[in-house]
Amino acid sequence: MTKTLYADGGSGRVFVYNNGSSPTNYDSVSGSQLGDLHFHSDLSYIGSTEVVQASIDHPQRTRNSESSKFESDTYKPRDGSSDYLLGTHNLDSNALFVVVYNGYQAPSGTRIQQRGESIRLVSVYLTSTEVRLYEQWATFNNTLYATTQTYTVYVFTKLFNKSGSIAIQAEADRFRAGYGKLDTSYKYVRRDNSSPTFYVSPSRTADVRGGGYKVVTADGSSYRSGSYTGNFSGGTSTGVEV
Amino acid sequence: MTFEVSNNNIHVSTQANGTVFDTATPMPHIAGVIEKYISHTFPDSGGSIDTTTTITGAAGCREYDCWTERECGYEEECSYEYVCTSDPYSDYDDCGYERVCDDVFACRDVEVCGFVDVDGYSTDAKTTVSPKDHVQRYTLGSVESGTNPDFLLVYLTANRSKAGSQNARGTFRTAIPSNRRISGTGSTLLESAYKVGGSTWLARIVSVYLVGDVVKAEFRHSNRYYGGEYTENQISCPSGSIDFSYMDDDLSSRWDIQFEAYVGKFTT
Repeated sequence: MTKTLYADGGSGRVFVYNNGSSPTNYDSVSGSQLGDLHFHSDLSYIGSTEVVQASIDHPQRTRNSESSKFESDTYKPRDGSSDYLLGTHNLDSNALFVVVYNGYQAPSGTRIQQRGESIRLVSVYLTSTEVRLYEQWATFNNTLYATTQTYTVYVFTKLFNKSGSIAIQAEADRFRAGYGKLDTSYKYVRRDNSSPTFYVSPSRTADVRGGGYKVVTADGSSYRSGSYTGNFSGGTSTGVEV
Repeated sequence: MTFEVSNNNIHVSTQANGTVFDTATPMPHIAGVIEKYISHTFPDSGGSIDTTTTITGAAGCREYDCWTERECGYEEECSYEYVCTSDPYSDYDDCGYERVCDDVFACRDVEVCGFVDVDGYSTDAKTTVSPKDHVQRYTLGSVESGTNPDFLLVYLTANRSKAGSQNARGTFRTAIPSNRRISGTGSTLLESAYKVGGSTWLARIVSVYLVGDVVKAEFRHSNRYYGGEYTENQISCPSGSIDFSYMDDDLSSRWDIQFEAYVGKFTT
């Protein structure tokens, strides 16, 4: 399939598209034309500049020593929360990010440990300068032993606005086009199902039924609670490389 | 930096970042950013407080009561009688009405009142929760008609402004930090509750997904029957009352969520 790279020295606009038609077809891009384009300086992109990876030693959460008045529980419930620093970033608090929990793209609020009814759940969140982990735990009859989990967070900058006046420039160690939107200083999210860094999905990745839940993540891994009675199989996903 | 055009592909790479642009592995265009605030309430599931009552003499109940008792004894009974007594100094009797009293044994029914021991009631109560499935969908927004997007990244800033709970085990577990921006791509586990042994009996999620050019948010809840683990007992007297309404679990939660959805399209 023909690829066309077009750069307008006057307007500074740059297009790369997948056919040999006139570039005037893409002067004003409509939604239905997006599939033809590899790059257009009027459009928006996300570029990754930072990867934060940290292993967190989650401490033991000891069950209560006080017995419970409820017949089916031996010990009274205990619960609490903790907050951990995974790393820092140099983007703003509205940066985009994708989280991989111990190698799996689990959803926010995911379970990382369970013994009986005792459970440990986590979510990753961003502040203006930090990537942090929030843990919520609860113990009933079982102690949650200490566990080490690894979290990888890909943080992206939004290349939504034009920056500078360079339409297209090739240097020995850098290529730029489209007023900063295409810049080899960034690593871009690119579709690659053969060797993806992670997966993205425009679909649901979990279901609840019978009081239980089942998760089928974008990378295809799944887990379920014992009480789930549905037949959720996940949705479509696309592998991407960064 | 390497800029290469070959085999109908354009490829740009650097030593530092490797492949940055490659028409063989296209990058998504962000077609639109949709922001929307939604406050959603997961309803209570309903249920009952089941009671069983037995009579017990150990309630320590006493009540004021009146009853009839037969009371017997000697009572002085007086009357006026015409009594004549002989006058020793004359031939005439001295007569007249005199009050004459005598002790007479008699029985009669009398009303007696006082506090007496009475049986009370021992009532056992247990809570049950009815099974329930709930789903509600919202439209967050849409991109230009005909875009047919296939890429979506979502972020949530959520606050649980009302937390569902059980008297036996407290509020439902959530690992969603309050008012912090988390990833909401696909589905997010909002809340869950567990039975002894570890199986869930309640789960709530929110999912964000594409339907054509439209971005949807779906709140979904499921719980199974739950009951019998939380029991209470009250002793009451006949004149008293019992109230187990405090045992009623309120499972309803309200989530206030600011959604950010980045909708994109890969090159086809």
